Amino acid sequence: MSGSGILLLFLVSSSIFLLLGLALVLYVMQYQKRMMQQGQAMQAAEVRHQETLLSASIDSQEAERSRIACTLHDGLGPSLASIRLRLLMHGQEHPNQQLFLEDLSELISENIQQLREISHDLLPGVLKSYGLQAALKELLQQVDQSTSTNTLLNTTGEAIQLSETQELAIYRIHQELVNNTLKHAKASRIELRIAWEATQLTLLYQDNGIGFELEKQHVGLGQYSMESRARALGGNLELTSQPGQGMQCQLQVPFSKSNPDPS
Amino acid sequence: MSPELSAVLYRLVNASNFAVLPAVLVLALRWKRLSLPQRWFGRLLLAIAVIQLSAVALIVFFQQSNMPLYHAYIALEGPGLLLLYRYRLGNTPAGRFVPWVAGSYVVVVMVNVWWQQGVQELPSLPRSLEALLLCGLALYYMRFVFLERKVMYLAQSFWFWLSAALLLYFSANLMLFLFTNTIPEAETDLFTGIWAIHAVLNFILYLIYSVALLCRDRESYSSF
Repeated sequence: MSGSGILLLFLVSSSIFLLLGLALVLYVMQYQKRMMQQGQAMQAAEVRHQETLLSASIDSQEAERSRIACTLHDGLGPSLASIRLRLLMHGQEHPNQQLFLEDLSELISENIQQLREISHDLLPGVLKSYGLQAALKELLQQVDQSTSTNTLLNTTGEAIQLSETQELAIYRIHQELVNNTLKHAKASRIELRIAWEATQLTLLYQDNGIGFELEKQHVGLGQYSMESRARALGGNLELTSQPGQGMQCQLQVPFSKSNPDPS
Repeated sequence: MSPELSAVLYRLVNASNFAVLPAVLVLALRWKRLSLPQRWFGRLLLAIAVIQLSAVALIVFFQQSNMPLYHAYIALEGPGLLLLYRYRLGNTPAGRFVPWVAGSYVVVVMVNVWWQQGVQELPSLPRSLEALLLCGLALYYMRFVFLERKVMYLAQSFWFWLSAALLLYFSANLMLFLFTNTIPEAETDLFTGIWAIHAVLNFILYLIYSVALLCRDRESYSSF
């Protein structure tokens, strides 16, 4: 073979190997990119699935709470009231047992009151009748009346009627926050600011309690439930706290005035 | 081949002796931001640059054959690159196997110098073996990265570009390494042509090395 023939052979073989290598490199890049995109899509689908499950779980929990509240309020409550009335009547007919029966009647009254409170916690009637703002106001008033913690509610902007699901979720989040403050924070003051903006509702809850280190705090069921409810609303919940500086929680819920429910 | 073309190719071959310098410049500019494996790769690159420039100096200033340096060069480059991959492969079976391969390769180079081709002969056999080993390692890395599914953007990965450089350079050079010694020395034009192909591949290699040094290394194990 002549010199130029050999040179051509080397040139062709090197070019072929170079092109094959280049094709392989490009293929690897493309394939890897596609695999990663597929992986991300699968992950996103999994997150969506989890959120659907979460939403269904919250709905069923609320339905169950509602059923229990109705049973307590409409079934057990009137029954206890009726028993109490009969005991009082029996006491009038038998004066020698009156003292004992009045004691029993008092005990039943206390139970009826407790039952009403449980029923109210499970399904706050004021939320359905008067809306979110009134329900939150009542929640804070209860704290004011039954504990040594003072509360302050501040509202700005024009309130609009959100969907029942949204209002219940926001109410539950604040119920949890109030419970946490009363149980752990040793706070003397709770403040809630509600700001109705053009496309979102912002609620800023803060207490002046002992606070905690957020990074060291174990994410409990309560916090998980609050975050889940915020996610189901399409909103954003941000907790901040420092030891000795109380706790702040900002909840932002987007809405459209024509269609308040983002879901 | 026309004398003009031959002169152009000759200049190209000479210029390729300095192809490593842009990569060394990138290395110097980015040294502080490089990862540990990238720095080891940089040190290897510096050693290669020193050997290549010494080889040029031997011919230009002392009119001496630089072939002995070529043996030192391949004894450094192949094992250096093989060992570098331990940072990426970690304690996988391949990662544990790599030092043995590198050690064996040095033995092959020494055997070739003393008992086979000699110190004044182009070390075509060990060079071809090095090409096969490094192509295999580059292909193994690509398979490894496929299965691992950890790297999001391969085009921004140091290890991917290093493997691409090795695969392209050594696969395209394999025929040259294998058969250069079989060409009669009288065929000057043919030699110039073949070394011109090698020179182009050299430019490609160091260009991709520069790209690799410009990329961030998010894949390496910090130690092995």
